[in-house]
Amino acid sequence: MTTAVLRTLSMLYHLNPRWLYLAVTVVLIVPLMVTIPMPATKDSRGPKGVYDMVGSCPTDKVVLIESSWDQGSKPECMSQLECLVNDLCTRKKRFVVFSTGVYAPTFANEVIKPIAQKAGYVYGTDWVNLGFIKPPADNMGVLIQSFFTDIHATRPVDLDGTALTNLPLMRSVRTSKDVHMVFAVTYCPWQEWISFGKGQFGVPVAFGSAAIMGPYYYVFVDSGQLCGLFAGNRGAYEYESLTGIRGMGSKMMMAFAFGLCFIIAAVVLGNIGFWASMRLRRMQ
Amino acid sequence: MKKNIVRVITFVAGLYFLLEFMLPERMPCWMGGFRNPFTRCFTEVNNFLMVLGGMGFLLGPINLTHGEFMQVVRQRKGWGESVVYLVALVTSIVATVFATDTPVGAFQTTIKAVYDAMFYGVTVAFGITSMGLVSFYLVSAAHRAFLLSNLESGLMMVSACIVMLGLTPAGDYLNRFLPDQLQFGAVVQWILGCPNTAVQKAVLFGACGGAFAAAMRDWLSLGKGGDRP
Repeated sequence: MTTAVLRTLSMLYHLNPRWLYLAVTVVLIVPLMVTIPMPATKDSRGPKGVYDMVGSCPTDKVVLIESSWDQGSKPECMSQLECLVNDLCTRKKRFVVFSTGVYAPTFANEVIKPIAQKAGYVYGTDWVNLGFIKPPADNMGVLIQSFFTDIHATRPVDLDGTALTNLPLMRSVRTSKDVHMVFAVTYCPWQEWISFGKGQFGVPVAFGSAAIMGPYYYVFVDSGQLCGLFAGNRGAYEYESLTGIRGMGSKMMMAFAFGLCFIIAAVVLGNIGFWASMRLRRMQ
Repeated sequence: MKKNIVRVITFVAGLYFLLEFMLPERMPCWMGGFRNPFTRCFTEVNNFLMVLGGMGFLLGPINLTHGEFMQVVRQRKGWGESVVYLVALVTSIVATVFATDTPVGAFQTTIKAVYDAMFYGVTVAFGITSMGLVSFYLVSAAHRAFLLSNLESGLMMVSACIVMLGLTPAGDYLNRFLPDQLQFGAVVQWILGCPNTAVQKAVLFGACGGAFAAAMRDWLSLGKGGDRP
């Protein structure tokens, strides 16, 4: 290989990072603006586990959603909550939402309210938002124990301050026995759900997490301690494939996919440039 | 004396939670068959903890505000930023307390607009921007630092690229040309299920052992700061 070619290739390694930043901006924005058809994906165990568990929810029980994501994890967690609520409303399952993040109830309501309204769900009868509940001394285990022992004593009012006894749904939801499953969605869900929710109270638990946290939680899917897992937008996208209701997950998945492909391209280009500069240095 | 009181309270509180968790809901018949006595007041104990946590929750903002206020009063370097903080704090508190979902009248409409500007225009925008910046650094790091310099880095790079491809529709396209055993989905599941699980479990064992040791030190007030009154 000639010196001129090597010199040109080595420029790939010494590329000004601003060009990369510009490229990644374009790569992430274009898929959000243009709909690109994607092949139907194979369903992995994570979303399928959640889908099956939601399907087996009896009419006298509720699905408990801990939606604690906020602006930081919105791009990944919003689509996860959206696809789950879409499915719950389609299959007429009742649900209760609460958050352990200060800003989270606002974001959860922004996603849930339009879907519930469209599905004809009545607040207080079909779904309830309990709002922000602070884990005592940041100890989620204590909150889960308290919550599953007596929900009404732990959180006597909902987000708007209405007493739980005045909400028809909450009159029949008091302990862990009234909860069919827990779905915790945030950047990094509390692991205490596994040890306390599933371990102590025997309630099936599923997580919706950021893609980067996926490898950490896959271990618990393999061991059966998590009944399902949404890892990033891929989880939401697969769930939407299962339910047949396309939403934010499919849209965000495209940007996510393009972003990942761009990272692979950056790795390849960086390595070619690095190899060329090393070769050039040896030749000189 | 003070130290001993803190030690006793810490030990008794830890013992309560330990016994509540370890003892069965109902004792066996040969032990009398009575219910776990610690569970009876569990909710009250947790509520007490939440109240204590609420008090601690305010300590941070109070200290921060006091520090920033003194910064302005004494005109120290960077006092302009402290003014911004104090104005933002007061505006946010007022807007959050008085804002309603359905504003009526000029006052409530203004308050709602201020709330939206503070929450969606500043807080949410800052949060999203700071998280979005990570993607730029990620690409920059992938380009500059993820280099094939030895066998270990090569293995890591190949497995990372396979997992990333397996998570994208591009991987599904490429799957058409591969046999079943080599399809990206299957390889990704194997990487996440076998080597990843083994490593994560090893890390967890270590972390849990450390957490257990730390908890024991706290409970028995053996740590350096554990007996501080």
